[in-house]
Amino acid sequence: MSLSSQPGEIAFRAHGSLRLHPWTETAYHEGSDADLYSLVMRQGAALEFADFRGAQSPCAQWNLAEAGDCWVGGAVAPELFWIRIPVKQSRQALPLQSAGLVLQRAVQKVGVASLDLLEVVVPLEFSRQDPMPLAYGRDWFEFSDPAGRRPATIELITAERSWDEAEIVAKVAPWLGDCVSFGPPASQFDVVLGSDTLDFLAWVAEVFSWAVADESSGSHLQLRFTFRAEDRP
Amino acid sequence: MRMKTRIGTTLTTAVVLASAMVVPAHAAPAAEAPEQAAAPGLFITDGDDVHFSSTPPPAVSGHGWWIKGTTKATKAKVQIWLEVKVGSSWRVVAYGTKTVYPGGGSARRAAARMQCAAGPIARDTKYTYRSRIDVDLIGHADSNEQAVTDPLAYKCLPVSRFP
Repeated sequence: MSLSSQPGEIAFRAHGSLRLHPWTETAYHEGSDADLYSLVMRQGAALEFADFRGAQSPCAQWNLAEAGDCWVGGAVAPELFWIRIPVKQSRQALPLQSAGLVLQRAVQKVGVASLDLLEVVVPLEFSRQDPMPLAYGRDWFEFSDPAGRRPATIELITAERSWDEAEIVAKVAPWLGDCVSFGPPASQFDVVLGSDTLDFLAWVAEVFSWAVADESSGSHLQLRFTFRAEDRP
Repeated sequence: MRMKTRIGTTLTTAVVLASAMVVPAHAAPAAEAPEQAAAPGLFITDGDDVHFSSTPPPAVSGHGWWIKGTTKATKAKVQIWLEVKVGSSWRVVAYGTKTVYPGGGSARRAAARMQCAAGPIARDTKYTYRSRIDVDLIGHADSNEQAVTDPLAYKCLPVSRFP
């Protein structure tokens, strides 16, 4: 599946491996059909982040279009999972953090994931104007176990590229704080990430999308986080 | 909002979470409510918005499922109609049905999918789609309410006729 998303949609696609928990392995062996779609639907609606027919909330930020995963058999490609999340049109900012949080909880419930690659597609029309709320995410993630740090590369892909890497680093660094350390500027960003959880990576994607939104005339930004197998925790 | 509804001799208290979508214990139509039928209890008729499918060929699709509240029913027939707006009315372009347990898992969703018709579409022309979802509890009476999803526009030419 290509990760091209529709206008106004966030999309995630992850490659890597998943070790099921013993209890989920038993449950799926016995025929459970709890796929990523249903897990994200249930948790998103329970937390009132997501809006479905039966769970409509004034706080809702997104709903769900499609998803595939490697544990129930919905995925037709060798991905760990992929998911498309339409953003509520009333939103003034990207709900990347709530989507990432629900995704993390859903995957974590099923097993222990180890990422090789995560792609995130972000509609730039929803990128925030005011970066100040990003500081809360920075302060939240800075207080994390240093043992969770992981080297990676980040690539930014848009239809029209008009930015300079050094400028982007200068723009995002204050908001990422100690959560992301940058190597020398290059065509892709060599970084050490504070974590490789999906909620963390979604937040990093939000910071980059804010930085790129003013510099690109494209409608979407694709971020590609690549992890080396030898750096797996 | 709390609602009390009397069905036959059973008094049911229903907590209505979303007025049109949580199906309260309304009296069911005659065809669905035999005299001895059990009280329906609460359940949710649920579904996602009609979306453009990422799997080729180009198509629009929607899913429907149900969530168990207090109902004693364990299975339900879920039906979903995909509709396109034509003038001021809606025309069915696809239909799906499945009898499923509650919860919305991969085996518990009914789907309706319409492959976009071939043909020219004028620039900036989009067609508006929605889905209509009905849940019939197996062995229990329920109301004839249906959930209707928000209309969404896609550049997808509807099929000219649906059987």
